[in-house]
Amino acid sequence: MMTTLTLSWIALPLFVGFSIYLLPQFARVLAITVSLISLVYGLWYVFSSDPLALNLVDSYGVSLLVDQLSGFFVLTNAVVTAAVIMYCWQSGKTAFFYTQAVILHGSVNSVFVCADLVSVYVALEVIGIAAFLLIAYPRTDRAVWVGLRYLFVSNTSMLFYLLGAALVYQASGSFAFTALTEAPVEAIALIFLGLLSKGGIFVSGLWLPPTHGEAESPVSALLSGVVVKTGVFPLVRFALIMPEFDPLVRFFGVATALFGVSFAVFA
Amino acid sequence: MLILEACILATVFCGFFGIIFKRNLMMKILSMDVMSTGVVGFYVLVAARTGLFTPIAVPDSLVSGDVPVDYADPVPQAVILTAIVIGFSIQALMLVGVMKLSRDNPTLECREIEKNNT
Repeated sequence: MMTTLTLSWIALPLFVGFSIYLLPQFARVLAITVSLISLVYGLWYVFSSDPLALNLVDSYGVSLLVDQLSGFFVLTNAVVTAAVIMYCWQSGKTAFFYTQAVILHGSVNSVFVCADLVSVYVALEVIGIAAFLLIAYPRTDRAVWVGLRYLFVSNTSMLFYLLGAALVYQASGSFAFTALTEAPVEAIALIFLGLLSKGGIFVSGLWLPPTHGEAESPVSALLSGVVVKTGVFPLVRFALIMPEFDPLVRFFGVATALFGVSFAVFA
Repeated sequence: MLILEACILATVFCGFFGIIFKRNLMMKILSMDVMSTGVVGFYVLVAARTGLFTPIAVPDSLVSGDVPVDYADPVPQAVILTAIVIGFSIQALMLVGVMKLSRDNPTLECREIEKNNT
């Protein structure tokens, strides 16, 4: 029961996103419905105590894990997306904008429930494409240039992540998060490099402020509200799986907070 | 095996330094392609550790005797196929952006574009 519900909830934003093109007059209603469904789903898992672990197709297939932690992140995503759509309600944005917003919402949700390195990679790349299209929505030279810069950095950092994932597979024969415990240290370094740059943490996040500052305000809210969290969420999962990385992730968290504030004050 | 790994690492770093040091936007995109080619090569190498034969199941009647066949590992190959498709679509998207930028910045020098647009 919960399995079917979860799978249809993951697929729903993608279906709705593409059908918005067929029904442009219902774009806003469809978009807000999707985010409200996510809101209910997120709330359900925030208050439920039994996590759902799925392993699709076979042992090498996609593995999903939905628990209270994912519930909180899904809830955040739903609230931010709903707020952005309400903000844009009267602004006359075309169906294209809502299509991208809904697809972005769906792919961010799938990062929050994935439990293996490859699904996270695919979801992060879809997020990169959707975020580029949202940044470039005004179609001015400036918007396209800011979007291109974003796509460059995120794609390059994801290539490093992919190298790290290959090393994990070489060491343990599996792409699941749990395989990281037996991975060599260079694999973990490469994966952290990718995720830290994607998530805008500490010094490797310095490329983000110009991009977020120059995007339109609703898009900027989506970018810094949820897209950045997709880089952080796998790190949190790693820290929970491997206790020896807990202090490292905590250090990065505190350092980012202090660094971010002082950067903002002295900029 | 070690020399192949070194070659792949060299390809990845060629691409990476190309992304950083090339001034032309078109060259940067090509360098990114070189880097992703390196990553694809690494996955193929990881898959080839166990053997080089295509992993297709053969009926027992066709296998003569019990000759052990060294199959390549299909999992990394399947994964990298996905990554190739994603990389290709991202590159197509970037080239569309570059086409749009080239109307006002025909030289496509990054520094010029940065100066004109910020």
